[in-house]
Amino acid sequence: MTEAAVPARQVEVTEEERVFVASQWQLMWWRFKKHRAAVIAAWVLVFLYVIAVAAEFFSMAHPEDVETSIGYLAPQTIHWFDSGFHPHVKAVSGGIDPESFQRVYETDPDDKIPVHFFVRGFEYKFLGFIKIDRHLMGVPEGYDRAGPYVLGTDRLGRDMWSRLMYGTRVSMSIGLVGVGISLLLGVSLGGVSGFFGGITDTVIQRLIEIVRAVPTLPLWMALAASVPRDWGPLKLYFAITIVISLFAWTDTARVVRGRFLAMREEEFVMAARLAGASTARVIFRHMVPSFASHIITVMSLAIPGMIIAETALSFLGLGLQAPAISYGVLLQAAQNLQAVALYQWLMVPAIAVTVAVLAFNFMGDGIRDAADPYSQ
Amino acid sequence: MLAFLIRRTVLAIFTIFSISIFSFMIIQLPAGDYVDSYILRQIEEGFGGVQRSSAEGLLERKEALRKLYGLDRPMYIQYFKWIGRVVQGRFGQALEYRLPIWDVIKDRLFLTIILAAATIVFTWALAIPIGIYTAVKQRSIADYSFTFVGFLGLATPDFLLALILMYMAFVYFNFSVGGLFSPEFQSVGWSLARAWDLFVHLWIPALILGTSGTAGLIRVMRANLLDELRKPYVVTARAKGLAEWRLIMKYPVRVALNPLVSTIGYLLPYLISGSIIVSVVLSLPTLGPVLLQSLFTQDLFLASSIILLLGVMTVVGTLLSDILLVIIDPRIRIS
Amino acid sequence: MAAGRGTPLISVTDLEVHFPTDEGLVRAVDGVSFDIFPGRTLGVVGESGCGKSTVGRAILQILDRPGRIVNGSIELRLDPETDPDDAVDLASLGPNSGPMRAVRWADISLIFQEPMTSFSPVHTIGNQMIEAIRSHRGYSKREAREWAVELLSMVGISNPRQRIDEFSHQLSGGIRQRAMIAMAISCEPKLLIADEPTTALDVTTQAQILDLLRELQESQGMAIMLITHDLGVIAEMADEVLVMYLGRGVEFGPSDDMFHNPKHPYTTSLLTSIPSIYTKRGERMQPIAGSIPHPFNRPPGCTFNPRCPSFMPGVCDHDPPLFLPLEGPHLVRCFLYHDAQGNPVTAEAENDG
Repeated sequence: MTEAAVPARQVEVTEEERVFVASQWQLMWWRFKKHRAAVIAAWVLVFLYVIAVAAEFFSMAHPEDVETSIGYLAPQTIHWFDSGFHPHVKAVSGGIDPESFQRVYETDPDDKIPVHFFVRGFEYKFLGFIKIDRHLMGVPEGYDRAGPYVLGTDRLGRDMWSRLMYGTRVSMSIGLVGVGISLLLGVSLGGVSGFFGGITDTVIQRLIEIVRAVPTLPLWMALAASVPRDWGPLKLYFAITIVISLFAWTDTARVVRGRFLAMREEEFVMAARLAGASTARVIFRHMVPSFASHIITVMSLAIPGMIIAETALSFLGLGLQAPAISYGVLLQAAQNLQAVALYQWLMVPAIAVTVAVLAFNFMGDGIRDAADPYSQ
Repeated sequence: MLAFLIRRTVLAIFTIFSISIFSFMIIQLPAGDYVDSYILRQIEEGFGGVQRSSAEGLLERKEALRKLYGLDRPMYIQYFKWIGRVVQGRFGQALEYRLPIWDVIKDRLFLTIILAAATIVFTWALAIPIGIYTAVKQRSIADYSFTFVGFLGLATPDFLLALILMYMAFVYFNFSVGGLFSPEFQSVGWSLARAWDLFVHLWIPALILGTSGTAGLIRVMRANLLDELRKPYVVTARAKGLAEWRLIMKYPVRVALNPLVSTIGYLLPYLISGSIIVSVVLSLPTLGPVLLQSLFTQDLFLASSIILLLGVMTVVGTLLSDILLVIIDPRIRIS
Repeated sequence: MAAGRGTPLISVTDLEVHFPTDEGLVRAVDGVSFDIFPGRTLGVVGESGCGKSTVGRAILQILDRPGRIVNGSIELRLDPETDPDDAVDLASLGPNSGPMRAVRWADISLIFQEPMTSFSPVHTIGNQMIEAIRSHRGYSKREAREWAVELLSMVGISNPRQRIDEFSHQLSGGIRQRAMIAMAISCEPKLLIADEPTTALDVTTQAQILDLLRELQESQGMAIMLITHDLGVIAEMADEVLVMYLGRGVEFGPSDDMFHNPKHPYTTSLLTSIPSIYTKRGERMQPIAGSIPHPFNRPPGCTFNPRCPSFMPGVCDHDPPLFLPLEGPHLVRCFLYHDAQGNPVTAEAENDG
């Protein structure tokens, strides 16, 4: 054989080679798209967060409008057609049955209350600064009550649908805010642990082991119970979120620490250090971005736990308090078995919780599979 | 192996110590103590001859009560006095119940342990066979349906499950699910009949409590077994001409079960957390409802005793599962 | 198949193994034929991913899911000397069927590259050996244990009575592989498939294990199918050699022929890509140009054509070549020797191309 090795003939650029040049995020995205359940879950979450952002717009009545005369009204059906497209609900009237002391409502089939799109209703600030009074649907002005009550009303006659919209805002955002806080805790503690190693690492590792070995709910309950009852809704909201985050950072910390330990030895970190970058800069500019996908996975799987925690605490009466509205606060009404048996629609927030948690789990699974290049 | 056990035990003791300090301190955080809320309630309810007008008498009475309960001493002294007594098994007085704390919680502690143990048994009995089946029949219809049901089980918070189950039992069977005993066994001494009655009532809470654990465990078992099924020793066993199910049960299942034992350690904290809230919903006579009550009334000693006991229970359970792991896994035993 | 070394113990003909995956069909083995003769050693060589391990597993029908044999036959003759017609086609047996399981270990056994993971981590060596013995021989537990101890000392493990009750992680790599071999020969198989048996071991231990295999072959009279990427090991051990590329057998013949007179360009490339004591000073090793194509992206025609130094445009990238005899027992799959219809190519034709 001579010196000149036979050159391989170049095969044209193939699908396979497109994969070679794709960035890590592109690869993840392609893989994620293949995971059908995760994609559906992601859309469900987009939908829920749109509601969270524009809860007022989706509300059909003010969530605090008390109208005891229609307490425990069953969900109304919207009739869409009536010689053409004329959405309406049938008017109801009712009172208390003298024998059973239960509320009885009668529907008047001829008294039709129209339901319009983009109607004027109570005024609110969209996104916090745009003052408008339009709502997606509702009964136009000139009729004596709001509605339609598509999910019925609670004991005080407040519209469950609108309350659910507001509850979605609070419960879904607690998940995000809580994960944000626990992420901060987890990345800092995990990063410090993995970056410095030695005694710092040992102490933080033991701390993680202790936190993980302890049943969290009793501690949550105790901490939540120690929040002063006279705090306003916003203060309470952040207090409860912080309480929940205090025990939810360990997963993030473990992932971050593991990655840090692996990465401490890698060359690009050494290069950054030799170039004179500060420790903080090395951590946040060079190391954190390189395992962002792991962090996103852990986060998306941690959010449902937060939502459940808030719901559980509020349900027990230790979390958010009325007038705040969250899934847990709404479900307090479902604690009374007699009430639930008669007025099943009080359980609807439970479905909302389950859907939200399920969606996060599926999406988190999809992200995990997509982020892990060695998974199948 | 001995080093492993010693390390675990030391960590367990340290954990218990941390829990005790922690549980004691967080109850101290609220503004006002038990005496405040006690007096406040007396004023509201007009009990004990306390008049709304006699502010001075009230203050005096408050100080007296504080001294009586030792609430005027510095915090660390209060803690050490308390922990000193706790180590001797004297938890102090449950203020609300006017009974020794131990008398208030001992039955409930026992039932909490029974419930947790029953749930673990239930969880394992269901999760292991399903996990094995779905791993061996990967990508079958059964695999997909169990995965879906598992997701649903994981996603439904157990207290919601309790609500739904209670609702269905009430509406469709006119049957009340709550409690762990029939009325006639509620407050009688232990007998075989009472134990049976407990057993009959126990499975519903165990089912509710175990659902998410079972779903989680199925996924762990399935994933472990899928990993093991690809290992060369399984191919060796197959090459030896063993029957498929027999070799799966003897080799990969046996290996996949080992890490499962250590999941008891992870499962227990969740179980205890879950049992509290499920007990509140189903009004089970466990520690959960008393803890909630004591937090509402700010009974510092009762609440911290319960939190401490729950913590100890969890840590001891985890330690036991570690020891079990050492016994069954030769890789840890001999090293 | 014609061969000059008696009747083969095993004749594999046109074997094809497919793995239908979500991404597409992987033709892990795409047409392989060879013979293994009683008491002799077949070396199977090729780059990683060429399907050589899959061939070994296909013979025992212990393919990983979702792999399955889609074509070809694997004829096993239990008594090739006296009754050459008494053959059973293993490919036609169900993977979990009784007859197939009876063949495993009793007639054909297997050792792997990784002795660490070939043993169960939670069972003792003895437990696994006794199980293998008792599932094919009617021994009592005691007899099986005695036999296992004897086997362990046969493969050169000292203190076998103690070692038999140890776990694989307590043994060193070499001892582990010896124990694996002891287990593999426990039912005195006619064929031992050794899948990269020395790859994970250090050089000294490698030599010891190969010596052990050779000794056992002599004393037991078993055939060995030695799967490796190491041409040195092949040169030392093999009587016949099968060269594989991308799931296809490209050349099969007696070891001497293959090393001194390789026919297929791939075999030639392989031989010039390793150092040898015959290499002249200053002469360079020739790595094979290009890299192995992705399994979903096979080149048309001869799969080796993009890397082949003798590439003939319009011929090699058109139809797949056939695996045909050249002279005597020598098989080759190349258009240098046969055209697409299988007719021998004459010298002029080659010059024209």
